[in-house]
Amino acid sequence: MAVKIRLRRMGAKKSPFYRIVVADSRFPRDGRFIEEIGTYNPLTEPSEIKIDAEKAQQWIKNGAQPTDTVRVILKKNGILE
Amino acid sequence: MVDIDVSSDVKRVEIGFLLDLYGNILTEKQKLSMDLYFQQDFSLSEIAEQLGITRQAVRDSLLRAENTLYDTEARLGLMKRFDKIRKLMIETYENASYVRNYAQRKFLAAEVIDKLTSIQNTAAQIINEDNDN
Repeated sequence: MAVKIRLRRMGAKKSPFYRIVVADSRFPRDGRFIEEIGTYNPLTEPSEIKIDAEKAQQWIKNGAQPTDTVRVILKKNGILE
Repeated sequence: MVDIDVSSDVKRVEIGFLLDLYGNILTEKQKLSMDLYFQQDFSLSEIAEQLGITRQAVRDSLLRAENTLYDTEARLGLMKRFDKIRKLMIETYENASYVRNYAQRKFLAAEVIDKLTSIQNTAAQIINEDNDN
């Protein structure tokens, strides 16, 4: 019953951006998630990240597992050390 | 996991484009795995669990699918082509915008301004061509 923090691709074809969402790892890909805590646009240079640091830290403190990708993003933004 | 690299934005975005263009060439299972892995950020084990296959099978499936996508792009080159059209259209949009501002400042005929607006709209439609399907 792990809670995960992961990216989810949104946006139009060929102009993607991603949401950073908190989701139950069992939830299949029916679009449900617990909370959106940020967005991530890989097309800009450098990639643009908006994230609620407080929420992210709170979720991680409560045992939510960021995926490897999200972990990298959080580290880059100084939210995770 | 060295060979399926999602660490770089470039790779993720590129696979996303390729899936938009050629996704239907893949088998249903490959398509689903690719979507989960590259677009929804699932791990190999999570995908394995969802599909009821082994982690290794997911990995093989992803690698095969990736090869199919890049191989298809090498032969058809749609991504490269869309990219080029898009860049040219962005240029067109900006040029039209520049001239239109000029025309407005100089109080040029309304028809000129209308036509320039129309060029901009057309360019915008082509740039965002993906939004309507």
